[in-house]
Amino acid sequence: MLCALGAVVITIGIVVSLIGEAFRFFARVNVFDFIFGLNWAPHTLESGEEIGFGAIPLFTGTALITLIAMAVAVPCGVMVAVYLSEYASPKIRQTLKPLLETLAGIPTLVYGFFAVATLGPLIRDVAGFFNLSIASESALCAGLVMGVMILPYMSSLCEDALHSLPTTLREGSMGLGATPSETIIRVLLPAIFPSLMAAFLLSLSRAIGETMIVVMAAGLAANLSFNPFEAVTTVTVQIVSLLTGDQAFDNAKTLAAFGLGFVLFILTLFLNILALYGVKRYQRIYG
Amino acid sequence: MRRTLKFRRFKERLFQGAGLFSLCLALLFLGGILGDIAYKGYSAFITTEIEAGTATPDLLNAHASHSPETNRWITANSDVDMYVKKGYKGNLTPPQLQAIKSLEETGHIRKAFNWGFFTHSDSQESELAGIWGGLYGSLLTLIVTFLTAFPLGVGTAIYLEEFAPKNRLTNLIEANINNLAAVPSILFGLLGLVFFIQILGLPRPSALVGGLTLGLMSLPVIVVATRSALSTVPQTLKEAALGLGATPLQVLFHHVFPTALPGIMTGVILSLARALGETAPLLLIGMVAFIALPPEHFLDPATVLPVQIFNWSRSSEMGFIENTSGAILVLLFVLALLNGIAVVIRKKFEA
Repeated sequence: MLCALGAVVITIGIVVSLIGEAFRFFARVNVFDFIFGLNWAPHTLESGEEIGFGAIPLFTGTALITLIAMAVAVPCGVMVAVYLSEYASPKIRQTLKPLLETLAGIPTLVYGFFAVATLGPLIRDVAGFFNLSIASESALCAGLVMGVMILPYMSSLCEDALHSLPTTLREGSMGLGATPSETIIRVLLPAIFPSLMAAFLLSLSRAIGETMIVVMAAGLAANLSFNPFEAVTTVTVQIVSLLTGDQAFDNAKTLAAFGLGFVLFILTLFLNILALYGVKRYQRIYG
Repeated sequence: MRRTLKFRRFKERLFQGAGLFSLCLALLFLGGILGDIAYKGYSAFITTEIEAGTATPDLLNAHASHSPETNRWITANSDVDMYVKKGYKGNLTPPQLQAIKSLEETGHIRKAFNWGFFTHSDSQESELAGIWGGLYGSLLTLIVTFLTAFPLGVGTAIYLEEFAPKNRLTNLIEANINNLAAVPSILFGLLGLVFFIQILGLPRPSALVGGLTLGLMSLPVIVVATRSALSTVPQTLKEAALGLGATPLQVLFHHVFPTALPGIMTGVILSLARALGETAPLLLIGMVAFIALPPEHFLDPATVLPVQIFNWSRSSEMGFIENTSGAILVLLFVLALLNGIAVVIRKKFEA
């Protein structure tokens, strides 16, 4: 059984080596310039000075796309969960629930291809019809598709939580004269609020770490913009673009990818811990 | 009173309508994505061929392998292919269009099932490109993934579930594994790049490195799935076996493990399906290169199906858009197959 522990040791060892690589990057580029810099155009000057490693445009780009995705996934996902759990007949529920779970397993590459080949041009054409100019690589397009990608995941988690609530809770509320919708809004949703938060945080961490959709559908240009009709870039896109191509390991540009990866790791780790453990403290067992 | 009742009923209907609406919207969106790709991709399975000796070489593919004795039909070039299948004129000149029309009338042009799409590897020309290289690379990669993640994952899960003492260290390990299962896949690509390529010096775009990286990614998922399968084994079963004088190891291998096996297999198949569809970590370890030959062994430069799809999707040529969609259909089919197997296993052993 020591070999089982070996698995854990390997994982930890690898995480440590990733962190080591990130620190080699921060030895070259000032941490504050990296986190608070406004200009992202990594290159090395002839004097050997490394400039253009300001990651703020990447963070805002990630935030913008994630925001759009969550704006699609959260309301829609919760409503789907509510409908499936509370209104739909058992037959519909039994067919649609496995279907939604299967859809959550579709590779994100497929969504990315849809975004770049169909939705992007569609948005551009519709905007052109209203005399607006939207590039086919827009934050809107990437965000919408990412929202659709997260939706089954979100609704599946919420549905599980709703379904695990005891019937007595519903009967009590309805016995007092509340309509089903009032029961859901005033009783059931508050009861599963911690699970709802956990689902939200897990979805958020997925949206932030999602790579293929944004690599394919969002741009490479690091615009510091909150306009959803413009192309923005994200942390994951930059990691991929910095590391694909010829590379030496001691290059500052390569190391920058590890710096970004480190930030991403910390951020998603924080969200996951919050979702898995922080929320548990507020969870109540009903029934 | 009556007015408030009316209002509440209206709100009720509104809420239920909103639920139904979002459900339909979600299904519509997802159905739209699949339908769109199926619509774009089905024609990748069809190819256009012209009978030998009836057309000028400018309509044919210059590199199509062709032996006149066994096969009278030659693959047409991508412009002709697109025109015959979908009516896009592309770069064809009016005389060429005229020639195609007369060939169509005399029956010297035909549409056939595109076997080459499954048997060829990647190519610069869309009408010759196929997915065999990617499929074979995916297979080799998945074998490596399975061989690393399955024994390690199941071993870890058995240890944690059956033998580990409840203390701070095991709690920490548990938390670590739960976390790793939710870490973005791209970070595993970074880990693979540092550990397998930089530190261990394995050859870069090989199935071995890809498989090991995906194995790392699947490991926590397999551990979580195996643990939940093991925890469903009733305590009474273990106690009965122990009471009859079995050693803990015998209890484990004769009773607990076989009982939990269907659940474990379901989890393993699903995590392999996830690994099969994964692209991002493989981009980072350099599997993006154009590779025209399928790998011969685990250390050969290889590509996998999703990466090949990604490479094709960056081309703006009509023929490659079609190929991309066709390859996605194949990928989805394989994934549906794996999911189906998992469901069948679950159903069969549930009773």
